[in-house]
Amino acid sequence: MTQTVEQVGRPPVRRAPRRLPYLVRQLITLLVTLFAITIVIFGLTAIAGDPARDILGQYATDAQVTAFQQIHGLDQPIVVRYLEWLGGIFRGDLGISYQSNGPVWDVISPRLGPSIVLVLFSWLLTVVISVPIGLYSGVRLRGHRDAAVTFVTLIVAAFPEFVLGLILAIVLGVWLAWLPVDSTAVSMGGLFDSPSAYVLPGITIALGTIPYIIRLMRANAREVASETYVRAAVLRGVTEPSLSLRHILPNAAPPVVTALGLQFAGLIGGVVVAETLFGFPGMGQLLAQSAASRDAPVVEALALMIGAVFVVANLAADAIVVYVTPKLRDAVR
Amino acid sequence: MTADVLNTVTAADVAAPRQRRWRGFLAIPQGGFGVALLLLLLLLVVIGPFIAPDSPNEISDQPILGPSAQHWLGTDAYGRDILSRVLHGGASVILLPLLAVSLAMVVATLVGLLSGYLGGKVDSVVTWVINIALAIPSYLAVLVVVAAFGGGGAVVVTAVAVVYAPYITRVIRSATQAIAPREFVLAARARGESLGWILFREITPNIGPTLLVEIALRFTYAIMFIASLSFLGLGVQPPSSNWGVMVAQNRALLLVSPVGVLVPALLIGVLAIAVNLIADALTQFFGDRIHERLMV
Repeated sequence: MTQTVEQVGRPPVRRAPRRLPYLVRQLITLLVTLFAITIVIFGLTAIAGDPARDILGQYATDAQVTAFQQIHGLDQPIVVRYLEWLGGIFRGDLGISYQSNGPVWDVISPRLGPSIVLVLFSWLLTVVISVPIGLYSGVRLRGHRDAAVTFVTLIVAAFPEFVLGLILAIVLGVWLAWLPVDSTAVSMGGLFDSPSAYVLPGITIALGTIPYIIRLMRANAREVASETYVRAAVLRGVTEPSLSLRHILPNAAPPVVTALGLQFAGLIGGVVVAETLFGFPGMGQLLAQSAASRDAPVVEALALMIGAVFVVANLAADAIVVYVTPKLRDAVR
Repeated sequence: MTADVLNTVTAADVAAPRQRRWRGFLAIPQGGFGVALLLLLLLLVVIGPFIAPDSPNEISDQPILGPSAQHWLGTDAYGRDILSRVLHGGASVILLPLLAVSLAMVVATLVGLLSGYLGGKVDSVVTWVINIALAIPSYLAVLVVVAAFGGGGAVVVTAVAVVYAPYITRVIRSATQAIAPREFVLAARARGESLGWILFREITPNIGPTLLVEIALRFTYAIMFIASLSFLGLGVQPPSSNWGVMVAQNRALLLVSPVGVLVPALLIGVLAIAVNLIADALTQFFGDRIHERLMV
């Protein structure tokens, strides 16, 4: 009683509605997301109410409170404040800090360079360490050694960054005294004058993402390695390292590329924690300090900048994946 | 978004409820080891306050001592006995994340079941909100909340719950979608069962294992996240002897007495490892693949 395809009839072919080109759609998503982020960031601070009393302390006079509200535009209706804030961003005016009473940009700008260098360093570290280990353990390792890799990544992944950083600081900084446990030196002199101050925070941030990427790379490499075309390549006499690098890696890479883009989110937490732990004068430390001292304008500006980088990185990773994967390239058209 | 083409979840990915005994769970190395570690830590946290030699906030005139017979882990900058503080400080490290995850689970289960089962407009709206929420990094959202409302345990718990809810909703929605077309759900509909019955008596038991894995995973993340926030000075406030707060305060003594920082830090690490091992074992035990598919 089994029916063949002919008896049932093919499902009616439904024409896909006309769609905008992929890149245009991605750009629209980008703008909508950024817009949503500005609303969330501003909305959260706005519904919290007037911070004047909390910032100035309970002994501030009414006149001081009123002056504070006027300087920061807190006496205006919320919609006006939002539009002014948004407009200011386009003019390069990020508002005035509650704590320093100077422009927010002056508080943030000296910290941009060190943080960018630190993030690029740790991101590079993540790629260089986790992709080869993941590929190798996925393709070559079996049994106990494979279990060992899995176990170590599980353990490292379960440690919060500040615990990992502390262990590194105690072993490499205090016991062996190879590296400085304090990175304040970065704020003095040029960006690259004290390279050793970048090492411990850089490794700490990278350790937060490395186990995750190793596991993903390993799982994908293993899946691809069992495909028929890989076995065909083996039969044709293709040997390592060409087998891993030319046949397995390109096919196992796409999800890893997406994840490396997504990992910017993981990096943000790592950057905040590692910079605070090692006294590194960057944006992450500023973000934590400003949140603790309730300096909303600084936190808003930093959150918007970092959020924008995160969204762009995600979409870039998405686009790269789509254009290197033939199956997806056709699917998104 | 685009890569969603890769993340389509099918019924085969949803962990199947099994009749196997829980002894089988403990036989998985991660499971047995994780449960043993967790029980040990719970024991320490529960009886700790009773066996602590001193009160956690008792200030003495002997600050910054290394380990000695009188103070096994030394004293901190205020002369407080570090061992006593460690023994007192575990409860909030476990309870705050537990509270945050429970809150998020309740909301996410309701929304996820509804949007996964009903589909249509409800689902479109929920998916849209989830996609926006996932585009905002967790740390940023929580830091903005703390800047707006001030730090402290209650604010951090609420913020973490709100930030985690979309992630959990996404998992539950996908699992529900995979189960909803199955025959027993159709049969319940044909019988004319109410929406509540279908959601909680037909679908929930079948996505139960997925829920359990999700709870364990989120609990791991929440432990690490909230401990980190306390370390940053945004969560539980001093003079609490919360392990995260202790690490932050004793960080300054790193060069003089590393033990005082290392012990509370390692305890947080061991707690996270224990729960993480349990989550890993649960994934294996139930054969859950949905988390791998959704890359969470």
